[in-house]
Amino acid sequence: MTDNNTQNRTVLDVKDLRVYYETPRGDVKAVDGISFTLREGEILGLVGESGCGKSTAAMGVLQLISPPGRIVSGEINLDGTDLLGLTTEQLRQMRWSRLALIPQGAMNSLNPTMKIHQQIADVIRQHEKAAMVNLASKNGGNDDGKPAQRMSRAELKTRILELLQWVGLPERIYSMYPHELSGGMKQRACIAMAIALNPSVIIADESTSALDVVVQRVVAQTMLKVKLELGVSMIMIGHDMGLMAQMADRIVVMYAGNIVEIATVEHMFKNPGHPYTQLLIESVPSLKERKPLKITEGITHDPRNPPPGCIFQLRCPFVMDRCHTEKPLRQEIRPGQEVACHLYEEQADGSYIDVRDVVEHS
Amino acid sequence: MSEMLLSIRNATKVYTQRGAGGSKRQVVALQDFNLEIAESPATITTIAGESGSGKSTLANVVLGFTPLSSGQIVFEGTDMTRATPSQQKRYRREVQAVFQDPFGVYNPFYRIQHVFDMVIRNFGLAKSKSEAREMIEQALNVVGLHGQDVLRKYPHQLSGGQRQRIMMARAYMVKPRLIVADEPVSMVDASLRAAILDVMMRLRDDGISFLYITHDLSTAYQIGDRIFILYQGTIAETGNTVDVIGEPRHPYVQLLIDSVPEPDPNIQWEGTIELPPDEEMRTSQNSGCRFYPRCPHRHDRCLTASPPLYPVGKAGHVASCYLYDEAEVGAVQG
Repeated sequence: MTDNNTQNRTVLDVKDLRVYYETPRGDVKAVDGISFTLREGEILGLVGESGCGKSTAAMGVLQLISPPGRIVSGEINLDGTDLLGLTTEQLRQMRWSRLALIPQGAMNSLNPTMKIHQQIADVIRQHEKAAMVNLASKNGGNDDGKPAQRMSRAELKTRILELLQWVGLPERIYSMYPHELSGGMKQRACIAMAIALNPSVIIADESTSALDVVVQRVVAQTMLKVKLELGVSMIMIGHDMGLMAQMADRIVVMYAGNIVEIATVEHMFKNPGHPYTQLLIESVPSLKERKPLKITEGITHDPRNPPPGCIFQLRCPFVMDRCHTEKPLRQEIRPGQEVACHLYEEQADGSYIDVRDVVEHS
Repeated sequence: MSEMLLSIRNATKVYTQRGAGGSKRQVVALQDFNLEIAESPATITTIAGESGSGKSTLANVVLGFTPLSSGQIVFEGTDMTRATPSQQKRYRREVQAVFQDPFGVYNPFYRIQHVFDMVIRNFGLAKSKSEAREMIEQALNVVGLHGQDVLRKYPHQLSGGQRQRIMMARAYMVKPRLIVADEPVSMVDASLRAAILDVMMRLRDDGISFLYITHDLSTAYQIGDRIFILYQGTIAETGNTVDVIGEPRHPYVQLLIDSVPEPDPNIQWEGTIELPPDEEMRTSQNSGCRFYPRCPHRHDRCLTASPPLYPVGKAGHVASCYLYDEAEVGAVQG
């Protein structure tokens, strides 16, 4: 929520990422050429309806796409390393230690037959070496090929307890099984696992969506603490715009595999630019006033065969001729807000106007 | 007073958990719960609460999936806990359900048509194929769909919103008096939720009452008539939806409403909250007020007995909290 984020360094840079799923009748273009950056210490919200490709995009960044899906093209730079150029082993070392995931339905992603401490220990042990190298390079990089030090059992236990405490869990869950914990506690156990190796980026996929509001608030607080105190950058995938307003610094809006808008949270809620974003903001139900429901028909195109021109043309209330033929490029209509829509036209002085205003006034 | 469609009287459901070595632990999922839904006009009654509050237990007992430990469910004057098979059959027809997961309720091997064929066959709704076809088309139209678009498709070819609306159409076709909707929109995208909620409102105006079970207060606020907010199996507060959400009185309900994230980046949550771990794991508090461990206003009295429902505002708005005990308030002021 701080303005100085705009000056922060880019941690993750995704360029023109395309992830397609193969089907007998052609590829489904789940993610069709998206580019965005994640800055140091920010929470980047990634929103859109189910099937818009937000989870696929995140899995693409983590390279956890499994067949029939495949990464068709793109560039993913994490702190200067191109993830697409790495070997499987290098990638494996990278995960958890530099790029961690809090998976969708984290509550069900814990192994029911292992105690909490075993699962966290597993992550630490598996990636210890990578973490050590990582830590060493952070501390000046005098790692001269010496085998990394393994943590002793006592150290490991201390570390796990420290992690549990950090996410606000009581010590006794150390030796409990996942089914003994509540949903919010499991979720925080997953956060503990995600931060175990001090990654620079965490991707949280719908990590609070199955929780009650009060518990959600506790988990959200923990995630904000991760950002503020550990300086971890996060991509938070979700569809709860209320939660996004509370947590995110910037928000990326996806529609049918494309990014239609990237804006700071303030712009997003005050002056949403893209008609789809406007629809998203309007459909947030209010607890303040009862208003008529805004119903939108979810007609979408065949994802194998997107229409030429704008991706949102079938549902857009402001569709123009141009939208059927020409794909709108993302343009920065005001500082901190990029929109891919023909409604905004650049003027000679570099500012943007809303085409609708011109039509009305003439 | 008008006739009651559904009365739930002193419903209590206790689950017994058997631990290692024969130890037993009793979990009270629902305690002395009372609810009435009038015959007419049709209403949307919301049951809200966090997971573990007993709201799904309530849905299950109303649908007859689990028997009550004690108490009664009276439907149109018949006590369903001791109903004859023919009464039960009628009840199964008059009370329909729509569940949370629009993916899990479908058999992926069958086309959508099958869902409707089954229900027509089970209840003998149509005499001929053409009558059945008409009936299906009409039910689909009510939820804003067309047979030609969906009937030949497989469940995975439809969106969650469409699948959920088809479930509504299926329930509607039976022409029930009551639909128990257990979290019908929680797995559907925000932009498509409105269509389902709108169907619920239209069916209500058509004379079908709803028992709307949800954890999402904002959708309840938009469409609900009466709301019950449960906390660990007991009613924390109930009343007209607008009154309860606009002016919550029970400390838990206040916390709950305060925690709903505001879709405005300039209004942030105030302060941080912590949940006592015992509370989170529901191992505490079997007597007195369930909210005691977390309550900012707790008092010794709260431990002695579960607080009754005290009137706290407009007609029918009551909260289970000693803060609103008239005698107590009077004594303090006097």
